[in-house]
Amino acid sequence: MAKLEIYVLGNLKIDWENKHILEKLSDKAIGLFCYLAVNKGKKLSRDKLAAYFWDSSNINSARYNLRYNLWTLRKVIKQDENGKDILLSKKDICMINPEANFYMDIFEINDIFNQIDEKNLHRYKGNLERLKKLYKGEFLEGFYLKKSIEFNDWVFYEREKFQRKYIDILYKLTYLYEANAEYDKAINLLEEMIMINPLKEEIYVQLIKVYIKIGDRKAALNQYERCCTILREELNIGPMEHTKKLYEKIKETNVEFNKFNTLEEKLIEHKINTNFQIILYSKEKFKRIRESLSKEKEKTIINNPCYPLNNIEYYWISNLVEKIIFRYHKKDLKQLEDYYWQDILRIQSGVLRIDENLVVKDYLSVKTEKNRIFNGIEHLINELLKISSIIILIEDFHYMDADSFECLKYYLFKNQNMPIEIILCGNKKNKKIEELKKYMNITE
Amino acid sequence: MIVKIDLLLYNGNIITLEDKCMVDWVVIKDGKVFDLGIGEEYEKYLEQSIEVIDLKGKTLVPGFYDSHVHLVQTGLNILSLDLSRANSIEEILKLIEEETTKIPKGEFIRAIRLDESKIKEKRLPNRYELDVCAPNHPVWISRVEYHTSIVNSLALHMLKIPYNTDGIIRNKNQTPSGVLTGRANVIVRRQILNRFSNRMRLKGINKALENAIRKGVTSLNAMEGGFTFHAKDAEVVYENEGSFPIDVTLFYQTVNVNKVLDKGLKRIGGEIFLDGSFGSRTAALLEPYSDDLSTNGKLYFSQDEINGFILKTYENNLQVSTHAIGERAIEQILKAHEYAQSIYPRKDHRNRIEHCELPSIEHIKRAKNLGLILSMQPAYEYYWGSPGQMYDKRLGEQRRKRANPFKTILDEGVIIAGGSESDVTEINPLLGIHTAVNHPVLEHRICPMDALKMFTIIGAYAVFEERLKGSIKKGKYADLVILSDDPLKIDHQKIKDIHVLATIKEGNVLYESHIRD
Repeated sequence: MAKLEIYVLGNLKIDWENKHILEKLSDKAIGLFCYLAVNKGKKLSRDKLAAYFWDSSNINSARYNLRYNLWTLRKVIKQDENGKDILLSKKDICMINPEANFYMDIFEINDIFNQIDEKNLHRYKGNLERLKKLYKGEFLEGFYLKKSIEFNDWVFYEREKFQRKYIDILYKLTYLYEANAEYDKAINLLEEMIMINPLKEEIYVQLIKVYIKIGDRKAALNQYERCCTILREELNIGPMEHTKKLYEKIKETNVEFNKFNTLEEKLIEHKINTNFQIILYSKEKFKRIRESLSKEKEKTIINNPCYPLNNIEYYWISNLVEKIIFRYHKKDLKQLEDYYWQDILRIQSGVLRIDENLVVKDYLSVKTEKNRIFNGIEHLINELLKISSIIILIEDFHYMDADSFECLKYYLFKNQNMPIEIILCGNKKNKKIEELKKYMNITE
Repeated sequence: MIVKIDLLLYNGNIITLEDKCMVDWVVIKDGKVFDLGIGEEYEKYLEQSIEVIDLKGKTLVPGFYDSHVHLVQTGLNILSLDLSRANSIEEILKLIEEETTKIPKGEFIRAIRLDESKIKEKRLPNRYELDVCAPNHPVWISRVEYHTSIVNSLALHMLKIPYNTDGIIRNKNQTPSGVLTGRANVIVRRQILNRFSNRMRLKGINKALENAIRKGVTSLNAMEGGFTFHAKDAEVVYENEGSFPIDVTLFYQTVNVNKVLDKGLKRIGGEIFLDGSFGSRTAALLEPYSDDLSTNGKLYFSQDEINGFILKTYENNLQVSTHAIGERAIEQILKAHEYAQSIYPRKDHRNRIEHCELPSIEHIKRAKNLGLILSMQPAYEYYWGSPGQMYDKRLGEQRRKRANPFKTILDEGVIIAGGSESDVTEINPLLGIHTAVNHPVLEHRICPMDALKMFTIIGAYAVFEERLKGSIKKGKYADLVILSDDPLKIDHQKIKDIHVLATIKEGNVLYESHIRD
């Protein structure tokens, strides 16, 4: 009894009993199997299939080739988990058993997609995110059979169908992210849509609007310039009138918003009543606590002291990420989406241990980059908190660099109910500690 | 002290383009003109000279400038399969099949200049036909005007086409036919040109430069990147600017001023298309085209847009050049410069208009007031300017007779830098000089001396190099060309038949043909 998994979006993968089997099959057999699998339950004429994959001018040879390839397929792919034959072959027809139980990514896509009620899109955010994750690339990307005109046409047809579906998913998710003020995620999706089609002016306009919403005027103006350049260089046209008007409007608004300042201004009047604990100890007591915590099993202890390096931007957060990478299993770290790792990679190259293919793709304004890094760190910590509670020990807190301090504040402000404890020691008169005290309850 | 001389050229008919216009010997040291004169004085250098060439009365002129070349495209086109002479689909497929034997499997076969109106079937080949003749190669054919691509299935498979874009022509079964126009063509072109390696671009450039050197060119202006081209073209020229055998000055074709500033470039533009061309009936005319009354061409920028761009180049002290062919485009660019100069009056900016084929007398006067240089391509007149040729068909006789009025422009005090717009016409300054002298319209003809200057000293002036190059003078770079005949004295009709016998770049003989026999 075996398990069959077929992934046709992106690089083709067929796993039988958790083992890759592509190398055991010829390209034609693989193409034939994919075609049959996508058409699961459909009775397909043997002669038509033979002509589909082989030279139809010599039907006997084509039939022989079909027979031979079906035989090689059956040798490798036998019965499903319930003991049912996967490939059914009769005299004139062959098909994939409609009752066979196996996994295929596009079946999952179709199932989820059909469940979505467009009128209540907000309820399906999770489904859409899953769909996005499932679309790992184009339909049968990189898979091409020479001299199989009909098969290749079928691939082009399916490729277009799934690409359109994917773009639809991206539009819907972007809409939801914007509605939920998850702007960084919306930006990532819009950038992805630009990668797919760099000539769609409305995507740049949408990006501009998102940057306006997060108060990054400079990034909004840069997006306009980017849009103008690409339209001029590729199509020799200017932007549409309403895009120009939007630009004029941003130019006239000479106010630069700062997301962090706004957040702090709002919070300054009300101390946050947090569930997490921040404890400030004297240096001696801090050391004793650290010693005693070394035996702690249920919680994850991360000891990340500060050093007199406050001129080095992000050094504390960068060290924290490095320690996390060493402490946690790769499979747990992989739970965090690539785009968050991409942003964390901006400050810690150790991220490449998790996935060496990650790259920092875009050139961002300082403010946007900061926003992305903070957001990435936030999601990383929250992902790890799903595994266990965390205690972070910070010795000589007063030496923390400004960016790391801002990032820590950002996290603490935004995540008030997370199972995290922070144990500090440091100069109590230091501005950073005083500032923390201003906003949060600190146990001394 | 004995001075070591690298090259001595004597017994020649040397046109210096300086005050002392004619000399008969020149001495080169360290890549520059060390001495020059008339008579026997050169003999004192004979013993010190590493290389000596007796010109035997042949003519020596300053190395030629070509002020408008699409260098990378010229190079890539040399490496591509030319379909301009194919007469049928069968012939096209046969040529492509032949090409498969020369190009490794899996690499793109690029074919160019396909014009279906000239082939028997009056249609483009389809994807399936191309699959048969090149099953192992992705094939990309560009139509003659580059606005349509035809690809085979393997190419279609390798490209990532956004199917929601316009311009994908479809078969009856709704799959792509392989013919891509509009935005789909732009995306495909962009992706394929992106796949071409810099090594391939450099290979093409070197072939193009080899041809240019054979035609006596020692300096050229490369118009790269932007619409219908590819940013990688500009980048490859930018990265290798100092390592070509002759001088290549990059004009980065973009409207992104910050991009060129970041690269430390002093100039921007080239083919910033304010309008199209006469050939495609897209040059912006005042009156409709004679052979299609439904159109008078197209302006691609609004006046505000071009004003904004030109102003930004003035603010940043950049030399700027833009393409303007028809009267409306010329009017638009003049207005933009007038607007910019009203805010940032600037002298010696040497801003240019490329082509400027149909200016009115008023345009010329305004160009003079604005201090603009016109960068023009006289060889257009050779191919298109005579009765019955393209200008005549598109513009009608009256307007044809007004095109490229070199004499009037010079008489009004505006200077003209000469170019080829390779590979629209081939790099061949002698053909440019010939056509400027033999303009099909008598009153636009200029004298050989002025025509020679267009391709030498004025070319240098148009990129701020006149103190270094463009004439033969002590201290200037020894960029020289030996010609079989004197273009100032030969029968005007025969200028185009003059041969380049040698091309010398900074004292190095890069090309020679029978000069030492």
